[in-house]
Amino acid sequence: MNRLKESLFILLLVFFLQSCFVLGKNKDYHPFDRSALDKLIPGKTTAAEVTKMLGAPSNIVKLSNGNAYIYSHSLTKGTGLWLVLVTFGNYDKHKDQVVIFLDKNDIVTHYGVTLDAHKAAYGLPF
Amino acid sequence: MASPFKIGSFVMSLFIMGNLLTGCVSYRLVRGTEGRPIPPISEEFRVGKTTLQEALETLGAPDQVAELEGKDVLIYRRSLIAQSGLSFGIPLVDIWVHGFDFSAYGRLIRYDLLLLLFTPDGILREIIIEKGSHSPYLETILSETLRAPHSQNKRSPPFKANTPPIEHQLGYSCSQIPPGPRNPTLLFHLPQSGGFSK
Repeated sequence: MNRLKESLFILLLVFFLQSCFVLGKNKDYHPFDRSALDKLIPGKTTAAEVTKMLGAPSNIVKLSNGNAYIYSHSLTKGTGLWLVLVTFGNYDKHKDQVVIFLDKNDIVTHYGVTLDAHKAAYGLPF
Repeated sequence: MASPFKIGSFVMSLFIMGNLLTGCVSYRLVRGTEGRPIPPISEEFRVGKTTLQEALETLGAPDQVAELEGKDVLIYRRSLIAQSGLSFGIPLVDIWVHGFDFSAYGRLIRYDLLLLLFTPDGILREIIIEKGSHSPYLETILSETLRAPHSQNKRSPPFKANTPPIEHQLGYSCSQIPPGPRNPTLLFHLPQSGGFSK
């Protein structure tokens, strides 16, 4: 019985001595001032004022009745666990995104905000 | 009391076995998610009535916007990535020219999608929902044919006379937005060195 326990102990030791655990974080960083979002007034704020407050957009899309300015910032958190025979990996990506709709006269008509980057989490795939 | 030689050889055997096994058999499981869950579309979203402003207030900023034949499309997307692999090999390359290994792996990306199409006046014209996450991993990745998507489509009367369905305008099914490695892959790999031949 003791021999069995010793064997199991040594086996576990070999198993865990060769294991590795990694945490990683990846940011697609495009900063924008969140407090400036309160200053956006549909029907009044112009495209020039938007870029002055929030900086250059990450992307501009042409729409049927104007343009959309997209401001995006993402955060990815990854977890890796290597044991002797098995490898587990997981990653979670969330983003902060602001989409501002402008009409043909470059006046803000609508805007949508999602602030979810902080929800990215470490974890295992099960 | 056990002989120290026996214990020593036992430990050595375990060590060698552990190292050999490391090179022989391995299993890999990777999961990933990108984006927030697609919120359920309640009855308050009505084609022909709901406005762009209401949609943005309820759902937040879309992941993607596009213009399509005079209509503005808001795309909300969540990607679920699943990857698994099993490999088996005998690392004899250092002591013998040939080695042998066998591996099978698959990568599946499923999308939950919500597309809202608006007229230039900002009135909701069409809702398209697809729940790719409802497709079971193994069944989907092992299937040779693409499964029918779990999708719903609510559409108002034609915006313009003879307006073709969105699938025809795009040139591909909405279930394929965005273009990417949607098709499941299952690959088997055998090295050319083929350890069985001399």
